[in-house]
Amino acid sequence: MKTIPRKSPLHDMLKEKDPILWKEVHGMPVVLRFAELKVESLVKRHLALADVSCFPRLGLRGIGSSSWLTTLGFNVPKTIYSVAPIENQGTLVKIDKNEVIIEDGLHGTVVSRISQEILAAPKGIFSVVRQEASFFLIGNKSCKVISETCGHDFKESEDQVVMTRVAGVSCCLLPIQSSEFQGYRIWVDPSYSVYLWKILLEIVHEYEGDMIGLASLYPSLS
Amino acid sequence: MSKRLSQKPNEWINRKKSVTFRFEGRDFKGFEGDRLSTALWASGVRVLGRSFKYHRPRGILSLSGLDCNALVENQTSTNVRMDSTAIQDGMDFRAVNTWGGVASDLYRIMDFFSSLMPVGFYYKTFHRPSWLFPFFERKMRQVAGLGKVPPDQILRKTPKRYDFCDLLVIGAGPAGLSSALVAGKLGLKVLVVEEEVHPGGTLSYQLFSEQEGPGTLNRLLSEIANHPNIEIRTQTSAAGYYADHWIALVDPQKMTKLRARSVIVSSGCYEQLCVFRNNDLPGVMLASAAQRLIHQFSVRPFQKALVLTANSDGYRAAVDLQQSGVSVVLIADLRPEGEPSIWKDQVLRHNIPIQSGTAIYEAIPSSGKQGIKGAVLCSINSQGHVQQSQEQDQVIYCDGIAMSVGWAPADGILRQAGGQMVYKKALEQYVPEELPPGIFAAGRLNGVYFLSDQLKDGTRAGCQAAAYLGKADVNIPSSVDRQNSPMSHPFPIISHPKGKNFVDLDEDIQLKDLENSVQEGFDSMELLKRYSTFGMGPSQGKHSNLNTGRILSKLKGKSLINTGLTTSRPFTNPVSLGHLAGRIFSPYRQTPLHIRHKRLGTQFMYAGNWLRPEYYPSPLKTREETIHDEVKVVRTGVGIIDVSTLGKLEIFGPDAVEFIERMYTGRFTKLKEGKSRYILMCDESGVMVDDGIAARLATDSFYVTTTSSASDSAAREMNRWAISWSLNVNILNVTGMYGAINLAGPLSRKVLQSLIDIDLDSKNFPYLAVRKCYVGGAPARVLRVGFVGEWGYEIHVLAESMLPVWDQIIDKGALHGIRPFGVEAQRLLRLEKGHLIVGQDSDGLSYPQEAGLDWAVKTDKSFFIGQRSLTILNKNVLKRQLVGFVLPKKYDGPIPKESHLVIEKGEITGRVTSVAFSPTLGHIIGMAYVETHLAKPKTTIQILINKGHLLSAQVAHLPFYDPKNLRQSETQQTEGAL
Repeated sequence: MKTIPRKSPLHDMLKEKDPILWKEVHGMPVVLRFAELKVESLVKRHLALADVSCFPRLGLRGIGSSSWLTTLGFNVPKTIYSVAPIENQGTLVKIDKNEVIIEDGLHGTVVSRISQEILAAPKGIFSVVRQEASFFLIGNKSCKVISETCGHDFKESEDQVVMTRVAGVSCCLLPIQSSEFQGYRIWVDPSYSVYLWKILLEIVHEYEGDMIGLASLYPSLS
Repeated sequence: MSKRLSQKPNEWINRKKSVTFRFEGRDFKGFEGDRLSTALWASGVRVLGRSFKYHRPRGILSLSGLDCNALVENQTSTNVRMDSTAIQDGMDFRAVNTWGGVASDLYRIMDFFSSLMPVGFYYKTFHRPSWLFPFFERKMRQVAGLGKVPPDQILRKTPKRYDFCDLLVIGAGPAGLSSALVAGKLGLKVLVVEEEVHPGGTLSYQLFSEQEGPGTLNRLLSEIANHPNIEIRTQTSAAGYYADHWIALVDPQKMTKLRARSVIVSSGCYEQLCVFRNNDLPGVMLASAAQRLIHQFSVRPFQKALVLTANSDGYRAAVDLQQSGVSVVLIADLRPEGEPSIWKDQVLRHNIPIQSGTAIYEAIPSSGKQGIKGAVLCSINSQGHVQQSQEQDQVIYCDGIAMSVGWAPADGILRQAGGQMVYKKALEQYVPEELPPGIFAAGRLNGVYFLSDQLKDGTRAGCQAAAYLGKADVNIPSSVDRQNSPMSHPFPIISHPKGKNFVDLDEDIQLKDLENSVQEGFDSMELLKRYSTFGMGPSQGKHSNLNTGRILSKLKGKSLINTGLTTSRPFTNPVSLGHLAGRIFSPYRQTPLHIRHKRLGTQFMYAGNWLRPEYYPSPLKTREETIHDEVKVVRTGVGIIDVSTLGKLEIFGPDAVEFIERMYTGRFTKLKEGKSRYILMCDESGVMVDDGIAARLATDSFYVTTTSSASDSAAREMNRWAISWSLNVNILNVTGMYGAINLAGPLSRKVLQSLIDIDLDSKNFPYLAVRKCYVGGAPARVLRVGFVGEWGYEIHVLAESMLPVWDQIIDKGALHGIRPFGVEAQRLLRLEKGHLIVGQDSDGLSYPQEAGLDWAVKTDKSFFIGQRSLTILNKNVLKRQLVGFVLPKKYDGPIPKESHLVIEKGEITGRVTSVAFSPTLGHIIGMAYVETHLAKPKTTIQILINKGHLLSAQVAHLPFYDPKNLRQSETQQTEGAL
């Protein structure tokens, strides 16, 4: 049986914007650049929105899921809503006492590996489908966009994911404070992703920001 | 003639920048920082607006954003307050609601006829004959009221923001600033909001009285500016308080939803007006307004002034006026004993005459009532009663009256927060008595008037807020004693036989209006407000509530303490609708196939918050013809519909079976893996709330569908019950994670077989079976279903793979004439098959037996939600039933509509729930609730359609189409496919 390409829920909308460069990442066509790298670099510092739905992710649920992952060598945080890095810039998020989400990084293979290994996992541990759309909202002005759309005080939850609402839609948000950029990672149900993207982009434009491609976030792609 | 004074050290205008604007078609000049009111006043314009009802001329009253008779409009905005709107180059405004301009408004004739329009007259007149009421209503709306909303208004996207702080300080007067400073120093993140353009409160205009004022203000602002924890936002008002210290802050650009951990209300007081005849005319203003004109805008308010007072503030204002070049002809003090403080000596030193125990009986209007030329005085005793007859009254000639007879606390936010205010007779003011946790009050609002006391009171409140928020070792100073002499007169209201002594200027409410209302029985504050409309104007009674309370208490012989106040509700200040609307957040959902539907030119419709294809328009065909074509394709060939909107839940875990048994009415213990079953969910009262399919994927794992609009609520309810029952079960709402399509029709198997990796023979894959397999290379869950009454498959794949799967099916199906169909065709197909839709063919009272779904309810199970209610209901006599009905084939009249009533002997006995013309059967079919005695097939029922016409229909067996379910049999399938 042939395999079929994955598609971001934003794929067709982004295609209409005439990006200048595409590439397949993790089996999904992604926009590498909407504009020249120089331009996008400036946008990235100021205010940018990027679609990063291509990274595969998987949920694990059930009593013992955390300890099972620990036996596989993962560092599973003890506190709910805490985040831990995994290999190749991937992310592991503990979203409940017995539930975690694993998302691969750019060159990660953890999700496909766990998808196989779970077949031999102890009874009571289940994999959970995670098809969320995922965005980066980054730049110096990103907090302005969030303050117009989200009622959560992120000062109270630094380095933790937050289940909240953005522009009226349930989302999972992770504040980012890295040396490369500051902003937010957003995960949202794919059926709401077009709506949320459009609303966020409208506000981003009002603050003179724009959308950027994946290559601006991961220079190794360009 | 310019009234502009020489430059003042702390004035708010920028004399280096001249601004030109238009008002009522005339060009005017002012300075940057001027308000419309002040620039016009400086140019000698006295009439700024007309009153709401009688169209009397009005000028400056408070100059604090509460002059609600001085409203203007232009092409894009209306009801713009002149006293809070800064002038800008090119502005072009006219006064609202005039006929022929503000200066010579022809509607002023209403003033002449005012005796014919007492309070509540419109409740008692114009409603007979009733057919004339619309005419009078239009006329009343035309004459009375405020500005008109411009019809061609451009949509302005006003953002809303969320913000957070430890402490919100409302009001940047001396108390507010000192509280902010101490709280900031104690480590709190403090936000101070001030509705004026500049902070300072009374320190920016009551300068004579507080010699140390400017220095104190500069010191406070300088310290705050150097403190990183404190932010001051000017032109920002706290417009409403909601639970948990959630406050709506409004500035010119946006509304901010602020969550504060604690709040200090130091919003000061509103100066109150004195009620006497013609107290509303231009030239009669509050003393604080005159001081604002002088100190903030450097405008001389009058040439010759009479100061009417009942407290030391009036004496201070008199000196301010005198020092600004205004000739103060007299201070009329309402108090027989006069002013006890040192301010009296100050006034005498400025050679201003004082007359105690004196009130203004009436102001004498100048020509056209466009100002005043004097005042008639009268003597009053300690109870406020007029002592002399009019003939003996003294006349004073002046062009302005400055009133300072008392203050009312700006306590709207405090009372919305649950704060209890109590009237202190010694102070003649309401003051906070009991405050909710985390809320504090300081300053004048708290009954503390002098600068040094206000600073101490602010410090006390700031320390209390810090201690409340857990700051250790906070030394809270003791409370400051409140003012020990009244700053307000107990009854500054002078009766006059000719009236026009206004209590509420917003709504033109006179003293006699309130007296008449009370006489008619509207004798509580809330009733009086609604009948007379006092306090219902744009300033929300900030100048009239207290005086009305005084009048009511006097009329009822009660104390003001027992009379009470009206309820304070958000918003405390007028907020534009644009601010409230904000940016529109209306989340909608799109299926993974949205782009395909869009490219086919689909007519979209909302199903809940999902965007779904209603139908796929065909060239040269009507909507109905197109839908009928879509139906025909499904009945005779193969159709495809996007059903990604179906709710999809994964229920797994050791207690999954037990959980499903409890949630749904059917029986599932014996449901085999790889099989699915219809499921029906009821609430505790037995009412049907949802339905769908439960597919058993493994012993401990189910895949459940819900109706499109119920996925979130069903998942939420399930999680709640799972916790309540302590079952070891997981419920995941994967609605958006999977896409789904329904491939239906006699040729569906042929199309799918070419893309699927399993054998679709009915022996291997029978009706209601479910299989995990691959479709077009994508992992899928495929169910054999028959919702539309044909052989069909529901194919569920991951959202990210849905698009290629759809494309492949369309591609393979092209050979068989495949065609997408929309929601309308699906509804028609299922109606022909007699399948009900929960929510459309059921209502908030429908239970399974009524809908003919008792077969899906196993009341002999040990438990399910609604079981007890259904057991009781089933014992009762059935009162109504959902039945099918048909109209004769030859009927060609209008099609009944959903919710049309079923009538028997003139009484309502039911209603239509679904109805449509069936292209398959060639006549109109429908479903309706009817009383049980009408439910027998072939019974004639009457449906009330448009214009009272009754239409006869006949009750019919359900389903209308394929009653023996032969379309799901292999024999028919093979024949159909051939």
